[in-house]
Amino acid sequence: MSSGCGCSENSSCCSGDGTVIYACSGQSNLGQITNEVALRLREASVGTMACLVGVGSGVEGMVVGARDAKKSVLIDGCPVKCGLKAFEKAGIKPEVYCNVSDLGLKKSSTRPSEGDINKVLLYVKGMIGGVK
Amino acid sequence: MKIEILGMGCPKCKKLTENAKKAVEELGVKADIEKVEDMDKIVAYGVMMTPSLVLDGKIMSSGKIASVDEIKKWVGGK
Repeated sequence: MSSGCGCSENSSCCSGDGTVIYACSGQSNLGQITNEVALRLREASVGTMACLVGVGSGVEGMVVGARDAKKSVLIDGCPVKCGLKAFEKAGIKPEVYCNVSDLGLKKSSTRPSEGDINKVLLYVKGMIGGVK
Repeated sequence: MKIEILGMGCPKCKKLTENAKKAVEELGVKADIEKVEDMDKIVAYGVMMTPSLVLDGKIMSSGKIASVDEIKKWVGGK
């Protein structure tokens, strides 16, 4: 992102390809899985990450960023759907919505296992791939 | 009227600046167009994606190249 980086208008410099990933990042194992999955998707250059709490709290720049994203990917951990509610409050509908609890994982206040993280990662990747 | 383009100077930011200049020219209005490349200033606006366009202090777009027509609509609505 430095000046004179030489990237083209369509490159991933600055705003990326327009895919923006939001994770609920809640305290439970499911919430923490969303954060880890979002990090891994970013590391795999699937998209950039942005702060869901910024959207939920109405920070203008973050709400506009979520609204302008070419493809917003929202990952909620549990059936409370805080992430989706935050988006709805801002009047935004995510292009891709994933809820980890749909995979049948049980909510608890423990660290998520590597196996569960990988399971969710595959699931979310599949969901993103299905939306052009 | 003040238009600020927030971005670190990559081609997308330059394109957005060009679009803003063109929009202002086509509307025949007076506006100061300023490129903001200082990371601290960009972060202070609360944007997480660049380029962003700020019109008189209000963030109008973030993480995309707003078109000339879009910018004309915003500027014309002032």
